[in-house]
Amino acid sequence: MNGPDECAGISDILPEFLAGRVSTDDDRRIRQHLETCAECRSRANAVSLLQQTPVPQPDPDRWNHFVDGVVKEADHQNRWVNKRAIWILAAALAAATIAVLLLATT
Amino acid sequence: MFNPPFNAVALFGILGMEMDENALIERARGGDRAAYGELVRHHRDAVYRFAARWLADPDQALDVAQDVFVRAFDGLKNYRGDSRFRTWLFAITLNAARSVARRQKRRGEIRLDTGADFADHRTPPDAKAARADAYARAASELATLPEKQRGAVTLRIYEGLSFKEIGEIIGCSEGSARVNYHHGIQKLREMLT
Repeated sequence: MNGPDECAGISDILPEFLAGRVSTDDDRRIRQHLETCAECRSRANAVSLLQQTPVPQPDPDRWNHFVDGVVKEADHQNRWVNKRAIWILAAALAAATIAVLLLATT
Repeated sequence: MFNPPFNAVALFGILGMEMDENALIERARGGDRAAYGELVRHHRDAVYRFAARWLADPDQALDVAQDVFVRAFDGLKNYRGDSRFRTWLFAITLNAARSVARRQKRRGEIRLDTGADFADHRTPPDAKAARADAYARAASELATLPEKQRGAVTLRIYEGLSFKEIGEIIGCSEGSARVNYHHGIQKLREMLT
């Protein structure tokens, strides 16, 4: 059967099929379908081309220092956030003290 | 319907990895930098790969990947473990990549140099050139898809994620993620064949 549901079902699992990660039964079923369905064959060709397309390589120097850079930056931001929180708390306490003093004097 | 082949060794391997990962997440939450470094080391390839496919630009992808892990460290306290850690990272990656793409669009920059980094030293020169052209074209066409379709196609084809996970990442239902994937594949089929 080559109905739209069958084509959609095949299209769903083309990535696993092309990577050889489907069961023997599914592999046979998909191969039979592709023999008779030109649209799905063309979809499979497109997915296959995309899968083979290599990922653009990152700059090796930046890549080698990636983990250390991330941990350092995360640490730096974390400290900055903590410092900011301390300042905000100090400012809030000062404001509350001033408010209490003002109320006490009036 | 699709019956995934059962592989007990792989299943127990994944379970073991997730247990280790949960322990690392807990330690990183408590401020353990070495544990967080391990998590970064474990997921950096996938995060970079997703950003590089989505943006079709290695330098921007590296900036995005770095930003993702810095943000994730701060956001660990909000990670409840409802989804896989990698799925959670992919959601942050998509947001960061979208911001970069929008900034770039506002500045009117257009990048068409996606074929520059596809090194291949084994294939004869003519075939090599044709293959590099085909790869560059595939990468460029993928980059022209609407955001949700691009996200669905990239996460399905390259990362093997389920439609449920894809929906969580791109912000829609499982059914809608599937529709986005199909529309994306259909457009790519028309453009590439």
